[in-house]
Amino acid sequence: MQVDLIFKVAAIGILVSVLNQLLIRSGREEQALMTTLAGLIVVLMIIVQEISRLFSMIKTTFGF
Amino acid sequence: MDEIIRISFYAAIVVVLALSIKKISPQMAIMISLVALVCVSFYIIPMAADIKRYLESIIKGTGMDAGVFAPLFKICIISVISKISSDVCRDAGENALSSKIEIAGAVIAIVNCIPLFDRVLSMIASMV
Repeated sequence: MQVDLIFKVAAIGILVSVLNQLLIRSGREEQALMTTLAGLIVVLMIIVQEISRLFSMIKTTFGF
Repeated sequence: MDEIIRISFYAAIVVVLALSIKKISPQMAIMISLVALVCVSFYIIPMAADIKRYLESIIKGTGMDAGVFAPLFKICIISVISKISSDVCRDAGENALSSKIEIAGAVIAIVNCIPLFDRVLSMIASMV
């Protein structure tokens, strides 16, 4: 069970949301949006690899 | 037995994590639940492969054509995948997209079924 993956994503998520709030409160909203988007792209890159691994595993185990 | 306990504890942790982030950054909450989905699927798929192997051995024992049952397994997996992805969309508030995905899953399942229908119809036609 890959607990470290979910903690990695959760850590990135918490970091991004804390930075988001910080930048919004100090008045730099466009930079907050850019940080959120950057965090999203990083997490997406991790997820897309895992999802492609999952689907190739489905294909091989179920023989499609 | 301890597998299901492990999975439910894992889900509880992920729910707490996702909820704590949801208000500030809902996109990250969706990402966290997606990653948890993928991890649980990695855990479950070997067990489902065992089930499939057992069913295949039963089918071989009955002596029926195995090609008849391949669309059945495919349709099971298509329905599971389309249900899960439509639920993820509904979690994110995209109800229209989720119904669209369910309709797409139904259409793809029927398209995969067409060879089976063909065989049945040709069998009936050859009997008549």
